[in-house]
Amino acid sequence: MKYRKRLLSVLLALALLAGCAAPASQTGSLLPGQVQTLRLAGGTDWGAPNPFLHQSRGPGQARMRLVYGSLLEKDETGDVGWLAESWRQSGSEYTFTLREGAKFQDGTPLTTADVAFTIDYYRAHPPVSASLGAGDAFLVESYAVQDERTITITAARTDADTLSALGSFVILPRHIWEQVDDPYTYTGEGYLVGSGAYACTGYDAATGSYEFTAQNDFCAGTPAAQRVLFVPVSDPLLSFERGEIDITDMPADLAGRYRDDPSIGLVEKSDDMGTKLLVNFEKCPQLLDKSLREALYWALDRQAVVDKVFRGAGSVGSAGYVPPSSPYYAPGCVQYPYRPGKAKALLEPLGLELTMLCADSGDDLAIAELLANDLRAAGVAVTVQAYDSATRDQMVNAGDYELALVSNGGWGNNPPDYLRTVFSDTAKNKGGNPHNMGPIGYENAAITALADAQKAEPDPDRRKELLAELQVEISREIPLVVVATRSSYSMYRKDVYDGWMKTYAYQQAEQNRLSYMLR
Amino acid sequence: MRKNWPAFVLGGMLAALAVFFALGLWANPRPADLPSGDSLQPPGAGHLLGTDNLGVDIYAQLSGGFFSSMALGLVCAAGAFVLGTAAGMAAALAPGGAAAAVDLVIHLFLAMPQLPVLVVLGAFFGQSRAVLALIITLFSWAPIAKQVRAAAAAVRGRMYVRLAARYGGGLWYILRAHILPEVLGLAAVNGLGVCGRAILQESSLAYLGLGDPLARSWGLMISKASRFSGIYFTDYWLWWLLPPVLALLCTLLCVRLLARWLERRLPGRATGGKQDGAA
Amino acid sequence: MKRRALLFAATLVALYLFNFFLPRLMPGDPLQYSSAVGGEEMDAAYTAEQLEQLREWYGLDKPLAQQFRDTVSRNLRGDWGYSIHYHMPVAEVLAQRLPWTAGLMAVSLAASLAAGVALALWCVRSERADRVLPAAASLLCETPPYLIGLLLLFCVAAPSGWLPLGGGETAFAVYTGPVQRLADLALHALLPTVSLWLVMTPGFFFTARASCLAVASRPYLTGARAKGLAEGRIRRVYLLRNAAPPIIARAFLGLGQALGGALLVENVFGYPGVGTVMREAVRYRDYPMLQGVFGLSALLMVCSLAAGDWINRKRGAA
Repeated sequence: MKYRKRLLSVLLALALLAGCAAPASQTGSLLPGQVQTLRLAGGTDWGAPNPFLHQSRGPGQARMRLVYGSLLEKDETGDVGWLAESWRQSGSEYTFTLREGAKFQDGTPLTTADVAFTIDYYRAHPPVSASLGAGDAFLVESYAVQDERTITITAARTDADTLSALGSFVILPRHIWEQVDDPYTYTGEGYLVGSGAYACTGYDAATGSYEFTAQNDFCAGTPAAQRVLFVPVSDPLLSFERGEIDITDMPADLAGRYRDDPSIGLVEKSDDMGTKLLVNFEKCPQLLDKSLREALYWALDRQAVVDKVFRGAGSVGSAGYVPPSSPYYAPGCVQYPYRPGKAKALLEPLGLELTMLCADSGDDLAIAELLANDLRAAGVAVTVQAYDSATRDQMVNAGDYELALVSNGGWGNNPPDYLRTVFSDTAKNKGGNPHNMGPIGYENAAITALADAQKAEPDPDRRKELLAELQVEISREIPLVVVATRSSYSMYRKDVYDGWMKTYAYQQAEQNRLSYMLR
Repeated sequence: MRKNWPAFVLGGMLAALAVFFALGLWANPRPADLPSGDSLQPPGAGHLLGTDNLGVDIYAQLSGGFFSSMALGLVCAAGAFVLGTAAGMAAALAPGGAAAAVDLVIHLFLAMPQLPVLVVLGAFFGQSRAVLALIITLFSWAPIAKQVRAAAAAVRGRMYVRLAARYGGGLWYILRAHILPEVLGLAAVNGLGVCGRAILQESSLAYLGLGDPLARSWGLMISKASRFSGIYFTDYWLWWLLPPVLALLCTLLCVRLLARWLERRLPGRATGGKQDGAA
Repeated sequence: MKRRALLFAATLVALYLFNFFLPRLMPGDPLQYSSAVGGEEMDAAYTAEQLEQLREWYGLDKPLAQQFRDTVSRNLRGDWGYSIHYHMPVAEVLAQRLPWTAGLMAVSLAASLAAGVALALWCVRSERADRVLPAAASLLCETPPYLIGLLLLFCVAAPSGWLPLGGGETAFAVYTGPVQRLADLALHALLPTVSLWLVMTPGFFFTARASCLAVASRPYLTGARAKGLAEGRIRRVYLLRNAAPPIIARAFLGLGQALGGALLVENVFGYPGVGTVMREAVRYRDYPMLQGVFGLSALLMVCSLAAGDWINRKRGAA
């Protein structure tokens, strides 16, 4: 008994001491409207936040983009100036004018010389997120520095997305990188000096924690928080409940618990995760018969996927690929409801035997099992093959499958140029990311023509029409089966900070730079 | 025999579990691998123990898990028993070079950190149940071999065995008459220990997402349920997470206590517990 | 003795070869990882041209034999390579994370050794304890480490209000002194250590109990008792000293278990350390990192095995 008491008192003392060690509030002067500290769930190492060292997926890129500025940014409706205050296009020439007072975080002014240097540097050393492309596909043909604040960039090809691409590469400080030969290993002086609204003042790879501090004299706006922290958590929901983090994902089953709470706000990421069923037509040429692909659709109870796996948060996939909640969705797409009887009549006589490849993580496996059951009920003998993601990726890329279930995010991105990278015969199956893989052994001239035309179309309205036509064509031809799309919610404490937003192009509130700016 | 009551109790408990789960598999109309109801139904008339998120009956899954876990454990135990005995004997009795080679292999497997290598092998060879059994077996026989080797060497060094050899008893005779009887019991008890550890390891691997993703194993059930975000803020954990945990613990404890009891009954091991390493 | 040394050296070499070739034979490509995990997509796939350049940069475009020669010569020079996933030298990644895991393992190993021995001595002294403790230890022994971790997280840390929910320290805390920093570290390490401690104690308990019981029946203890020595002194001096070698050998052999347990416990508590690196290195097929982290653990295992072996031998010789 005595020991227990002693133990308890030691523990309490520890807790008290550690309590004193909790982050001391910093006494930096707050600008009006500014929040002292924003805390987000961290704990995973997403790499050092610089263009060459961050990890290629969203969170790594988002951290880097807090620190580094680009010429343009995106808001709810379109492109807006970021380091550039204005821009104009004539033909393939894009002229950008930098903001007055643009500077790097070490105080050095940011000029067009830095922009020019960055372009040359990226040509020689592509960054992780290479919006300018790499090698022969490099987007910039040439540039001409007009003066300290004006630069004209000539693009190698001009299409609807060229401006976005030119606007989104991040600018490097020339005075630091001109002495660096190998940026992929450089961690010396100034390797985190950027031109963004926040400076990276703390990064610990081992614990996956990041500290970003506001640059109050940033030229393109005012940072919304004095500090942004990514702190390690074991279970984000527990930490959110305890107030250790200010924003996290809300599980669909807990909607009732949080939706009515007036102190909690929600950002919806509607239909952003999508799941599709790829067919390798070289391995199962029977499915080149379109009526059988229609039968596949009829055989699948896709609403069950939404209800059971997505817990009701999401929608049955549109056969035209673009999710129903997207502003680009074409209502004219062919609908394929669940008609098990009709499917069985078509499929059972054939005695098909197919394998279905899927990843063993996330919800993929559960979806695969549901779909396999449906197909078995329709008389198709399906064997599910689950592999870890890296193996699955390689098999998908190599076409080593008959049916493959692939889930990925970004279905809510706009404009839906992913239609081109998945369906156009000239663009699909390149690069080596399974998300960009389209049907193998299947070609369709009409779809390819439309997919390529929308990319080249500079007029937004006309482009939208082309994209709608394309979706209808896809829904009619069924090069692949769209299963379902999932919506998710970020919930945040309104009393802490209320500025979370999503851009027209990208729905992840935590990963958008403007979420961290006063607006 | 009054002294044998722990064996009867433990054996009885295992038998009761087996009957309970056999009923769940054959007397329960719900399939273990197909959804048969709405998702996450609480325990009730249609589903005695409720359903999981896909609407699969928990009782049926749990039952399937018992037999597949037991099968895995027994297969691994048998494999480790055979491999361990053979390798241990070879290391103790074979002529110099061969014994050294066997010794190297034993040490190789003793030195490989188990879980990490299981991670790599699982990713490499795919994650079917057969591969899993093979991998767990490969990592379970070495400690048995080491003990068998020590015991065999000790027996061989005893006076009466040396005498028997002097009187012209061949290697095979000595093996059969003197060494095997002493060593087999030791190996068998350790083998039974492997049975429990195999089940445990399978569940750990499943928790890390490295088990057979299609099996209805307890580890996988635990892993899926504990990953279901927000499960602790709902009631789902009561019928989705708790039953596999309890089933796992019960079964493992029975097997473990049985093994311990047998171990204590071994000749020359009156003290119980196991001593590591060779003397 | 020389033969044993040779044996362990050969084991190391074999493990080295295994470490090099196995990951490269695994399906998957270190430069092509993509995940379907929600909220992580920002369409940053490498383009074909980028992949080509990266492959060249990491030397992955060369034939396997050439890669092997390069790796061996680099490793001989003390260079562990450059991690593809972490964008950092492998040695640096390990140096950053090793202290966390080593601290966790060292403390819980020491604590479970102490607890195991203490409980074993109790068992020797008391019949009643000997009836209950082995069964209790068996139960603990059969509880998977991750379950213990989850239980502690949700049933102890979450309701407590003051125990941290994960991580190794309060991120970006400003400490007023080293004592506070230590307290913070200790508080964060508390539950992970307790989980690991609970997992490892039964092993030591069983070994210590067997060893003590074996020693307790020896004639010299009866002699000591006949001399009228105090029971406490007998237990401390005679019993423990003679029963120690197998327990110490067990401690070395227990390192492997501790490593495996640490991997699982770190995973539950979001505790920084080598466990995460192992998992991520496998998941992302980060060849140099895989080699480094598994090479290190193999080295640790071989060394502890050799140490345990040496103690056993000395005991046999004495």
